[in-house]
Order: sequence, then C-alpha cells, then structure tokens
Amino acid sequence: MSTLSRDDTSSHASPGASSSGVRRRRRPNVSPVLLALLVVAAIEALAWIVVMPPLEGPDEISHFAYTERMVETRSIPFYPGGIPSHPGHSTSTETNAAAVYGGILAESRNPFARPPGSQLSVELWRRQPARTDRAARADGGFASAMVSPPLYYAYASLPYLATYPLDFFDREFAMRLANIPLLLVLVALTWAIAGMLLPQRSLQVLATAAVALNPQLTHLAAVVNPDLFLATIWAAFFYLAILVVTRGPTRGRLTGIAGLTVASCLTHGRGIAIVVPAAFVFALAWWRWRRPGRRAVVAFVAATSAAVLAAAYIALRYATLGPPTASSTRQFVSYLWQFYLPKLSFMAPSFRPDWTVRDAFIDRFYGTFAQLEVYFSPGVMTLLARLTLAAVVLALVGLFIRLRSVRFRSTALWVLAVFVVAAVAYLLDMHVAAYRSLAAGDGDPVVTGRYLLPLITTYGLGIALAVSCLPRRLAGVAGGLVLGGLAVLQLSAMGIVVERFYA
Amino acid sequence: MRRRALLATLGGALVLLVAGVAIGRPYLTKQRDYPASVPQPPSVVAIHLVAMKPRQVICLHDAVMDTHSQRALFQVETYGKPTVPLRFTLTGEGYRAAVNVPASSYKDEAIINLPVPAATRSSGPA
Repeated sequence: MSTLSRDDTSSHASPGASSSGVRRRRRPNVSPVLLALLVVAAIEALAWIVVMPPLEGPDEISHFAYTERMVETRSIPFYPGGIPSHPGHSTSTETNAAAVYGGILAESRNPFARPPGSQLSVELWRRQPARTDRAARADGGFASAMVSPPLYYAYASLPYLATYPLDFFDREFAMRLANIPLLLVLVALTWAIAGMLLPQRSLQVLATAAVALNPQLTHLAAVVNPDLFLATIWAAFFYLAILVVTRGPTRGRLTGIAGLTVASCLTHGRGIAIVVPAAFVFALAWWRWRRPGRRAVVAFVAATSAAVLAAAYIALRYATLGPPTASSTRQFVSYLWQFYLPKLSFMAPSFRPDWTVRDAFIDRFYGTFAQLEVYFSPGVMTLLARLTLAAVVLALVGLFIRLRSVRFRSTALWVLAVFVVAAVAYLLDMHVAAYRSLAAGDGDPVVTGRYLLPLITTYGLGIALAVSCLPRRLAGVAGGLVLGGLAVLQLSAMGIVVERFYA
Repeated sequence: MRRRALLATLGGALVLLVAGVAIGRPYLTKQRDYPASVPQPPSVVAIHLVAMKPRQVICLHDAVMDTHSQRALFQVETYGKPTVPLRFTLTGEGYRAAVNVPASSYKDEAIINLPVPAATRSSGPA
C-alpha cells in the first residue's frame, strides 16, 4: 500500500499557490476511465431497476411502506423498541392492492410465478379504487423496516414527493432511480480511495471496476432499500479518514467525518458501528498532529481502555440477553469461531451450524437476489468461494509487499489500521445482533451478504492488491482476466434474474 | 505500458468470449415456456385430491388467458394406475378451444404440455 501516491503529489506541490492568495478556479479533471466506469455502473443499475419486478427486492415492500407512511402522514414512523401495541396492517391499502395486482404476492416464494405483463393485468389494476384514493395511501401501520432510523427514508421521500401525483408503480420506480446517484458517488469514492492507496493507475481501475461490477451492489441499487445508502456513507467516511491520516486533519475533514458518523447512525442499526473507526480517526489525528504530553497520553490510554472494556461488557450483555457470565461469553466466542472456522472437538454446536461464513458472505454476497429465491447453482458458489479464498491470500501477500516497499510506512500502517478497526467493529456489530436473535430463539441468523456492502471499497482494494502481487508481466494479463471474470459475474447474475422472472 | 494494456484487454475479451460461448450460448438458445399467467406452485403441506370417475369433468374458474397464451401446462397423477385419455377444454368470452390428450402421450406425475390456439383478446376474472 503506498500512501501519498499520485493524487497526493498535486496537493503537496501546490501550497505556494494557495498561500499567494490567488484563488484560481480549477477545472474539474475527471479521468475518462472513471467516466467510463460511471457510465457502466449507471447502465447496470438502470438495467437491474427495469428487470427487477416492483417490490421484489429484499424486504422492499417494507422499505416502501416506511417512506409512504412518512410522506403521507407527515410523521417519522421510527419504532426503535420494536412492534408497537397496535401495529395495524403492515402496508397501506394502496400498497396491498399493488402487491396483489402487481403479482408481488403471487411471485413471493413461488418460483413458477412470473410478473403480470399483459394488457389485461394493467386493466385489472386500473379498476382498483385504491389506485386513485389518497386516503388508501395513508392507512399503513407498522412495517418491519420501521425499527430502523429514518435518514434513508427521508432521502427516498424526495423521489416519492417528486412523483406524488403519479401511480404507485411510477413512484416506486422513481424511488429506485434515486439510488443511481448513490451508486455513482460510491464508485467515484472508490476511485478516489484507490487513487490514494494504490501505486498504479491500472490497479486503481481494477479496484473501481470490481466495485462497479459487483452484482450484489447493482442489485441493491435497483431496489428500495437502505443498504446502498449506508454503503455510500461508509465509502465517504473511508475517503475522509484516509485524507486525515495521510494529509492531516482540517476542520472540513473532521466535520465531514462527524457528519457521516451521525448519518450512518441515523440510517441503520448496523451503521452505529462507524462510531468506533470515527473515534479511532479522531484519536489518531489528535495523537499525530497535536503531539500530546505524556500525562495526556496516559489519561487517554486509561480512558480508551475503560471505554473498550465498557463497550465489550455492554455488547456481551446485549448479545447474551443478560449479564455476561463465563459460560455465556464462551458460547458467544464459540459461535464466532464456528461462523468462520470448523468446529473444534471441545465446542458445543452453535445455534445455527448451517449458517457459516460460506453461506452468509459467499453465497449471499455474490449470488442471492430478489427475495432470496434467485441464486447461482452450488457449483458456481463453490467456485466463487475458492476464488475468493485465493484472492484473500493473494491480497494479504500483496498488502505485505506494498507495506515493505512503501515510502511512508507508518502512515500506510495507520491507513491499514483504519480499515481493520472499521471492519472488525462492523462485523462484531452484526455478530452481536445475530447472536442476540439466535439466543432469543428467533432463528434469524441476521448476518447476510448484502450487509457487507459498507465494506465494499475494501473488496475492490483487495482484488487490486491480489493482482498486484503477481510478477509485472503476469499482472497485466491477470488484471484483464479478473476484469473479464467480474463482468461475467455481473452478466450471469443479471441472467439468472431475467430467467427467474421472464423465462 | 501500451503492450501491457493491450494484453489486459485481450485477457478480458478472452474471458468474455469463452463465457459467451460456454454460458451465454446455451442460455440464449435454451427452449423455454414463458408463463402468461400465474402458475400454481406445488403444494407445500398436503394435496387435496379430486377423485374422478370416467367421463367426469372438473373445472378451474377465474383462470387468466391473454393473447400470448399458446400452451397449457398442468399435472395429472394416476397414482400408479395406467394413464387414460383426457379432453382439455378452455372456455372464455369469445374463445373456446379443446385438445384431446391420448393416454399414450403422458406419464403418471408428468406435467402435460399442450398447444392451445392464442386468444384474440385477453380474458380473466370479471
């Protein structure tokens, strides 16, 4: 990893210009390669939006219901405590009619069903009184998405309001279209991050293309769902965090990180994990640029240790549904172990031995779409699992080589630490919620592939690093092969979705 | 540098070409039926059997048929007994079609796939 690479040279070379007091308006200099990748991402997202039948995304009906109720009742239906005493119908009369006449209920878990596309189906829908009755939009009750904070739904309410006089399906389509700018920002941020951290333009292209071609990302860009919104916030956070670590803190960067931290917490429960890397970046900025005295350092270390212990206690208490004991802590650690690694002989079976890293982070990440009923064959999943394992090993080797060759090694190590702290905090947050659900007997393993999207920039960087460790002559061809493979993965994912709904 | 970029492009194109031949061609040329209305999924819990005597008729109401409907698919189970000739009739507003199904043309538990003339206009529940 080479921090302060190409992009940094420009900023380091130009302090004289800014000190002279002459503010020249810089022409936006966007790379044509980035432009091409943005166009590809936009086309992909548009294609997925068209191909995915209405409300067929994961829990999409629930996310739509949240936005609809927010706009129609001018309220924020946020229920952090769970189901209210009088939940009512989870969807409005209009949404329910759309679910019936749009074929959403018929398609749900019926792999033989197809979306209605005939003129007769359109006429049947047009006959529904709920289609034009404004009161039928506002009578929805509690939907499962309403346990999440409202920021994404406030964003989704903008396209809803812009198409307010239009039909249900037009409004839903507009809400999906509003995801495209988020996807483009995410791809552009990956480009910027890869530009700061990778030494060659070809690796920057590969890292960004890996993100732009990821089928789960484009799938989530095509449905009403907060996952892409959260992923974009995290990508922006990583971008600002790297700027702070490599170029130093400014008021704008620190305010940006604070704002993104608040935004992440207001988007989803999983987003709260961002507090940990944000605190780490603030502490790092203070440590590296303020050079605190010895006393301050001792006080800081003591306070941090106490905070870590308190956070661990609260997390364990939450996960195990009570004060942590030696037994419950051992069970939690055993669950974590068995999620990632094979069970050891002395371990008791986990709550869900059938739900491991392979199921959640391979099968569900690369190849499970719509309402989870569209997926690649087991053979394809096994091939993807093996390729991922090989890529992880190669990426670690690539990382090691970069760290050895980099000019500013301590800075590179701090950047790496930001990614590691963020990933560990995010994954632990998910596992705590998952363990709580399993311990309560809900049976819902919570952790799933699309929840990895906030770490998607790491996925892109990892693929580029994996290629970078190959000999120079091979790396070029390997990069092309990987890029081709990623394009095949994207097209194949689209292919199985088209087959599910239209063939 | 240019040579490496060219090699990378060729590598990517090769992967796409191989995938196009190995995956894309069979995907695009596979024979499929395109459902024109919502098919009934197989039962999850139990099947309610309708016992039929010779020449008895059973009807399914509120079936939807549109101008794209060209085939009718349904499953018949004889529970180990020999198959029998069947007559399949479709009736709607301004539409009527009938197809004879010889006993030898299907097997127990098989899905029967019959050609039916396309309707000139869509019809469904009132």
